[in-house]
This record gives sequence, C-alpha cells and structure tokens, in this order.
Amino acid sequence: MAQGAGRYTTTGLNLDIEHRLDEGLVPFLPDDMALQCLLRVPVQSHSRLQNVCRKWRDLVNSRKFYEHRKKEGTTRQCVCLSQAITRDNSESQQRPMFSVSVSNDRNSWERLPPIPDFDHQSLPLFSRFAAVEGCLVVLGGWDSITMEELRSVYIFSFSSWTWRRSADMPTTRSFFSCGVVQDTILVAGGHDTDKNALRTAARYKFQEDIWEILPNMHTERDECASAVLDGNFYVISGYITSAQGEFRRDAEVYDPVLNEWKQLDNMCPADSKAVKPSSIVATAGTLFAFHHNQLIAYSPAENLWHLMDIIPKDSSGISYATCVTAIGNSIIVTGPSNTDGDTHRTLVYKLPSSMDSGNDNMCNGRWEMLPADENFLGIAQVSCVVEL
Amino acid sequence: MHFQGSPNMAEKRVKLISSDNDEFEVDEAVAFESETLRNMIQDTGTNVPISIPNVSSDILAKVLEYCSYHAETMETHDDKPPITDAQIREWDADFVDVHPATLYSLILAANYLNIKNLLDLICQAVANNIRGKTAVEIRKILHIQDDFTYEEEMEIRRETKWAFD
Repeated sequence: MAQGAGRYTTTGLNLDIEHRLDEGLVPFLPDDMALQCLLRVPVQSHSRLQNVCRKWRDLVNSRKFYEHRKKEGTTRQCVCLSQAITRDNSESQQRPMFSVSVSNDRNSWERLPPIPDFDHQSLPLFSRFAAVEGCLVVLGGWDSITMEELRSVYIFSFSSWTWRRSADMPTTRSFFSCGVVQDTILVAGGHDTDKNALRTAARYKFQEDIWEILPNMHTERDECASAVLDGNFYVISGYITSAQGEFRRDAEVYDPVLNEWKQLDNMCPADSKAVKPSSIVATAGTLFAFHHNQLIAYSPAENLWHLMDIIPKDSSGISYATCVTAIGNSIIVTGPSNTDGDTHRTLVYKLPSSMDSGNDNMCNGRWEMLPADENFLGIAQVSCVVEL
Repeated sequence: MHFQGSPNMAEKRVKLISSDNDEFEVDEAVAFESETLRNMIQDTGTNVPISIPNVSSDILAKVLEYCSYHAETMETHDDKPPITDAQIREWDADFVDVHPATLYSLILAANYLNIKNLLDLICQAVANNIRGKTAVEIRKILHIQDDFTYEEEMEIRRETKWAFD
C-alpha cells in the first residue's frame, strides 16, 4: 500500500490510537492536519485560539505559525493608518487624538486599542510605522499632550491583540526615515531634541529586540523620505540644520550586506519639495512618488522621474498625498479629499500589468476610493501595510 | 469490468474496498480525483479491486460523492449548461455541513487519498466552525482539555476581540 501517500505525510495511520485525548493540538486529529485547519482561522480570532490550551497558545504565538499561514496563503494584507479620531464635540478638538485605523475584509476600517502607556489614549503624533512578521511597529513620534519627543517603540501583535513596548531607539529622533529589510527595521536622519538635523542611523532587530548603531550617512537629513527597494534602504532628500526647509535633491542608499551608504546625486526632481517624507513608496520593483496630484515613477537608468498618472480631480480624488504605501501592484495613497479638505480619503491605484516607464505616456490606470464611514475620515499622517 | 484499451474513459470502472469490506464501483475519472488512487491505478490497472484499509464505508461513500460531483463539473455537455462556480460553492458548503466528527474522518480520508481540494474544503470548514467562537466554546466543540493554571485563566479573562468578530 502507498503508505504516507497523502499530501501531508508526517503521520501514519491508526491515528485514533496514537493521538489520545490529552495529546496533540486537537484530539483524534494528527497535528499536521489540525495545523492545516488552524492556519485557516483568520487573525481576528487568534487571541481566542490562544486561550484554548497551552499547545494552541504556543502554536499561535510561534513564528512558525505565521510562516505557515503565509505559505498557505491564508494571510491578508491590511492597510494601517495613523489617523485623527474625528469627533463631533468641539471641546475635544482642542487636543489631537490619533489612533491606528486598519482596513478589514468587510470593506471598512477598524480601530486598534490605544497604547496602554498613554493615559490620554492617543497614538504619538508624527510617529513612524513599520510592519514586521504580522506586527505593526510604531516608532518614536511626539506625545500628543506634552509634545515630548519620544524614543519609545511599541509593537502591536494582531494575534494577541495587544501592545507591548520594545527596546527604545538609541537616540531621540523625529521626522526620520524608516524602512524594513526582512525582519530588521532601519531608521535614519530626522532631527534630535534640539532640532539638529541628523546623519545618524540605527537598526532594530525584531527577533532579538535590540538596536544597533549603523554607519553615519554622508549628510544630515531632516524630514527625509524613505523606501526599501531590492533590499536596499533609500533615504531621500531632507535638509541640513543650517538650511532649514531647503530640501536636497540627492539621496543615500544603505546596503545592509555591505553595511555602507552610497550617495545618489540629483535623484529628486528640481522642484525637490515634490518629495515629501511620506510620499514615496517602492513596489513592483520600482520607486513611486506623489508630486502634487501626479504619480511619478523613478527610472534608475536615467536618474529621472516619469509621469505615471494623475489623481482624479473630481470628488473621487484627493488633492495631494500625505502618506503612501503599497500592496503588490496596488499603490495606496491617503490625503485630503478634493471635496472637503478636512476629511482624508484613501485611494487604491492599480498599476498596469506592463509599465512602460521609458516614456511620459500616461497610464490611465484605475483609481478606486476605499469606503470609509465618518469615524475614519480624520487626518492621516503615516501608513503601512501589514500582512496579517 | 475492465475494458483494456477502450477509447472511452467513462467505460473504465474502478472497484474500491472500504475498511469494513464494502465494495464500491466508480468511473475511473471519479477515482482520478484522488492522487493516491490515480497512482495506484497507473501502477496496477483497474482489474484488481483497490483496498482502502483506513477509510470506513460511510466516509468512503461521502468522499466518492464529492469526487463524482467534482468529476462531473469538469465535463461539458451540449444539452446542459455548465455548472457555475457559484453552484459548486453552494454544493461544497452543503457537503461540509456535517457533524464535526464526520469532518475529522473526512480530513483523514482526504489526506490519505490525497484529494487536495477536498482537504482544503474541510480544513476551511473546521476553521469556520471555530472562528469567532470563545475559547470555552472551541474547547467544547473540539473536546480539548483546558490545561491552564488558575492564574493563567485569570489573565485570559482579559480576552479582547475584534469589533466585527
């Protein structure tokens, strides 16, 4: 007989004898098949799965479980936004309240619970987002009441539905670049508590919960933009302490393998203010940026940006991008609505299957506005995609 | 009966013997839904009954019901409109609407017989059965023993959930 002919082959037959009630993940079911079932339970239920028994808790918390889910294709890409909580009563509008909005599979948005360390319940303002192994990482930012600049790093685990604080960043920095290469978060530039622009950089190793200092960049870069392309960390534009607000045209690229920075001259368009800190994203092997209402794509061979498309000017569009992220061939951009600048909307732009970036031919791709009820129209500061 | 070299696949019949010695006869195309049976038939032909020692007759009947339907959905008939994906989904949903114990037996059978779509379908059904349920409900459904200490149990009471769960 074809023993072990099945698709999952670690267990033999006569399983009801081998798997007694007190063993395995599910009584009378081999673990590999119990795992196949549990992989298909969506992340929203994971906090409950963890409470069933010790074996389930260990499984759901394990890195292996997440890797299995990714491999089986049972994960889902969600957009996370740092978004102002819109409130009706004018009293509370005096102080900014931000929280994390997450797109869900019901074509709407959810709000994450507040970070317990902040009594005022607001997410830090101007923090940076990173996504590592199904977790959302919130780095730095300003305390929304005291405006204190924070070094703190908070990690939200969707599977346990809780926040935890991780190791602080080595130094305080605001308005910095942030990117993820594998399970390492890279930060660079920004400014310190005295508003000195920084050329320092550091990396956070997610598994080890440690920060390490990286070589300095060649130039100070406050309010720099960032993207990760082909495993390299791009820190783009920004300005030096003595030339506040004069955004540079150059960029620096960190190669994690060589552990060094390379300079990239004249990378940004002459109108370099085009490149806002959070308006760049790398996806489908290309760097994209928003320049006013234009979507532009970078051609490394020519060191030039090409016009890709224009955000709709009517009520289905936004006037400019405040934050950008991407899922595969879709660019996700959030900004003030064309019809009401006080409300922020999120658009999805599907890239054409074959991009001809050599010409300034307009792509005329499809823009789609994500539905959002009135609780999810607040100002958005930063976005990222987490695979849950 | 086995017709060697018959040009018509549908005429080839396969005999299967369940663990409790019941005999089933199906079209070869139905048996081919199972990778395991396909390999066996390619090795030994269809004139010898194939014994399936770890699948009982009630479960084997269910599995063959699934295979027959899905083999049929692959066929095209001039006189009948093709079966739509929506119809297949509805049929599949009805198929897995059974007692959890039956689902388990089906998982084991689908795994052994290597019928990927059936295995995916059932694993998803088990997952759907426990999604959105509390830990207490899940333990009851799957007969899992609570092995947490009192202190851990208290910690768990702080259980949170997604608003739309």
